[in-house]
Amino acid sequence: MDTVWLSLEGAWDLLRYGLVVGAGLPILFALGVRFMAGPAVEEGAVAAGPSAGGRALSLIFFALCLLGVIVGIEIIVGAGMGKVVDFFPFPHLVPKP
Amino acid sequence: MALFILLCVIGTALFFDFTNGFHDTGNAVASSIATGALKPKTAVTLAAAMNLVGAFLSVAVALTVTNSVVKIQGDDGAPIPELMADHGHELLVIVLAGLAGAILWNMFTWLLGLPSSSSYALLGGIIGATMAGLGVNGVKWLGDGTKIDGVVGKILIPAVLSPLIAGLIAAIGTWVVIKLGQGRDEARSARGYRWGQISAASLVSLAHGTNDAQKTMGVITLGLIAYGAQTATDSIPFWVKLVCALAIAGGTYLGGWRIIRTLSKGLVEISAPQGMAADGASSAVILAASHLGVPLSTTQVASGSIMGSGVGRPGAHVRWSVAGRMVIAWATTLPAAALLGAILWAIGHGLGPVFGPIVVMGLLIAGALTMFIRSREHVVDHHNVGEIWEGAPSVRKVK
Repeated sequence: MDTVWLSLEGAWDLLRYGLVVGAGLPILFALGVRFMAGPAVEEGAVAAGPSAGGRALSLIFFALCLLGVIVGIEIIVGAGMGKVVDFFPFPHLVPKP
Repeated sequence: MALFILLCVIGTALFFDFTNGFHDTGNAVASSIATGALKPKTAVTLAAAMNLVGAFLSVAVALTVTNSVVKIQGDDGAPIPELMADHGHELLVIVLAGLAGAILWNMFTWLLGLPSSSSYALLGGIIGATMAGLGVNGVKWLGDGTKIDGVVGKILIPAVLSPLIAGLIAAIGTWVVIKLGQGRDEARSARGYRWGQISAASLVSLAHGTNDAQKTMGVITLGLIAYGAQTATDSIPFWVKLVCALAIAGGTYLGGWRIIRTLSKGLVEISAPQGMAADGASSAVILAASHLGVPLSTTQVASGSIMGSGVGRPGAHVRWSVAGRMVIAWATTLPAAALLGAILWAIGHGLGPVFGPIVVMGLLIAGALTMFIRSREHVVDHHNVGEIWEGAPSVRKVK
């Protein structure tokens, strides 16, 4: 194992996990926005707004995004303290291995 | 005289921290400003506050900042004994020259409105000064292969791959997000995207304060240890933390408007869903890398995300000429900062322990002032940062 190989491996991990959270969370958020916004209406007409079901669905998506933000803050606080996030059984900080 | 050079190192380190702040403001807030999610002044105030909080979150000691690329510190972060003579004079000259080189390069790229990496400028300056001082063998090119290390692993490979990775993620995210927004009420949607963007931008700023202020704290503490003012390698004095936090937050609040303008208007016009996807991608990639222990440049990731979001939005027009200039700045940052660091080391070392540091400081101040004065010929600030793009914020004289 040399540095180049390790770096490429790191980049591959970054791409995989980055895709899941970096594209995934904005997509979940956009789903939340979609259900919250309600359908487009003709210019001048009053927007219908979300249905009750749409509102509930959007809150679920927003809650998932909020979890992502909380884990993000945990990673930052961990970096400041020299710790890392352990995801099992729930995201919490542990000393760097 | 060793005390004088220590004070020079502390001063330049804080100056670097300040340039680090304004150089990187755009990473977090450029797209929020572009989409109108935040007013320019509100955006930089938020970013500055987050940087301040982030800096104080740095509890761990990042004393081994230079260890990944040069061999001037031992494993515990203490300077190597060969450089410790006369209150660590040799080490302090290397650090001073490296910092000064990094500042000059940061100021130059800011003048041209180019988002280059402040961290690579810092490491480049130190690499150059170390090569000049200790020879090619003073630089760690590859590491020992047990972890991602050395110039190749910590800088070269991430510099090439991380903007591509961020760009790809942002492009995919943008494409799907825009599809999901079609046929929905636009005003309500825009309000939703706004909150997503502000949250992601805040995370980027918070992470920036934690990581980047920590580096300057490490450099100042290294200077204190070299001089002999401190022996502990596992703690950072509180005053160091305080001044570093204030310097980076102050720089962020000042706002690098020239760079913000390039990122928010120059690369691509940014729509609300696109801005949300770009910021989401940036924050996720930066934090995922932090979690995985993969090195990268925040600036390059943020720029890559914004470009990628342009590629992902059907009909968007990415200005590849601006992108090209930016990539040239990325490619030249390490060698240019290294060259400046090496030249300044030769001056600082060659002119003797008294005049050397004085001349280095003089050159730094003269260079920084010159570039500041040049910037006043074509002012970019929060008033005109969002104007229609009609070419790069060059240093051409205003007619």
